[in-house]
Amino acid sequence: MDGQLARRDPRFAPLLDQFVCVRLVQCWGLDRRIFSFDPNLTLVVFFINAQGYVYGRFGTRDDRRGERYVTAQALVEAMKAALELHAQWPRNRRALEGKWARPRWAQPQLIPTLQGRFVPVGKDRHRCFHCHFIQGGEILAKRQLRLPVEDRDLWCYPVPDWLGFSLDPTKRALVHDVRPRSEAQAAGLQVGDEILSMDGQPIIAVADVQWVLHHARDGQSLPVVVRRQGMRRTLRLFLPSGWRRRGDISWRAISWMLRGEVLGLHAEPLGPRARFHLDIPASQVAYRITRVAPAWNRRANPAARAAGLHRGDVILSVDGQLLPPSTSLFLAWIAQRTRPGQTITLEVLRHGKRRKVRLRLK
Amino acid sequence: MRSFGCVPWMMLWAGALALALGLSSAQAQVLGKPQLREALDDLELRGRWYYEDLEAARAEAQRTGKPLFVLLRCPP
Repeated sequence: MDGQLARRDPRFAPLLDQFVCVRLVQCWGLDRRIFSFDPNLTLVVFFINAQGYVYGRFGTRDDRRGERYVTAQALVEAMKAALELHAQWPRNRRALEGKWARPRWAQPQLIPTLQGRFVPVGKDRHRCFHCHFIQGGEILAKRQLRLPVEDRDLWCYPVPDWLGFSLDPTKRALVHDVRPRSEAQAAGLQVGDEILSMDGQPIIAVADVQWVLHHARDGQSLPVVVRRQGMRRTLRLFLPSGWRRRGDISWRAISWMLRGEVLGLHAEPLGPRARFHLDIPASQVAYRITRVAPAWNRRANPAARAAGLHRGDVILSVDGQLLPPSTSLFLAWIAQRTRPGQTITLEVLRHGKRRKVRLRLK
Repeated sequence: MRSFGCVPWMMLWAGALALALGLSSAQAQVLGKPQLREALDDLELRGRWYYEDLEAARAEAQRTGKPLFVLLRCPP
């Protein structure tokens, strides 16, 4: 898709001509009030105006099915919708204000834990760093500053599938599927509904739906305006407590940072067969260490290596407590329930023998 | 309706050709930082793009009344 846009593929060219086109390859200095986005994407499009108001965003990555929502047809639809919103400017100013973020750190390089993380690019050594680090950098900074790490920080930019509906990947925001007994069904969403706005904000792509869901609060009832058979209807989508935790964050860059930099090791839950062979009760979750941070990695926590932990060791408990049942929840436990400098005690199984290992977190 | 009968057709064609060439050359101009593009192996751009220069693009958007299409791309 990036190449098609860069080369002005005929599908996009007539629409691109109606915009002032900008290509950004570094996030240094970006105004995060406008340019806040899912940092684990490889391609993001913002439709904005000269005053900095955001008409919409494009670019989605799904924790289960990758970049299925990133299609040329959907981008064309989003471009048309952005032009329609631009034609309505400034009458729609109030509705667009919700599309601004309120970041704690106004630019990526101001996040304290991202200092010194700039990746040299090419022989000219331009300052750059991977946008993927923004989310993790912010979470680690919050930990260091003793600020609460919220579920929203970890399970960011949720896809609608987490609430039981999916959208047609070739349209703006057309409901493609509604799962029985889901929040989406309870709200009255139906296949074929066209989502026009959520929480008062116009929707031009799946990324806009994610934007609204990302900023919504647990327990909130989101107004969703849909067009159904030519008629507008307003539905209420209820977000139950803890709904974000249905998603998987183990693929995100945040997982590298939490595992490598805070814990100093990577571990994955053991399957039932492996637990059976190790004589671990079926009801008990255990994690096998797949990697201990290497000594050369100066950002990683060296404590796991120093404590003598090895690849293949099986972690049975932490501070006498059973472990969370998924990698995502384990990562959340590290981010939300531990502090930098805290020492935890792991119960580890190695060659059939149990031992206790103390590990100082970074 | 105004007639072009008094203008030789050859001159009209030459003018149109010159205009087309001028436009295409303006459109092929890529604004920005060639060194950075080379360093990032980001050499595919065709047409008019503001490369790593959001402020200049916003100024043009202000002047022309067009919206902005801002593409963020991870370096390859």
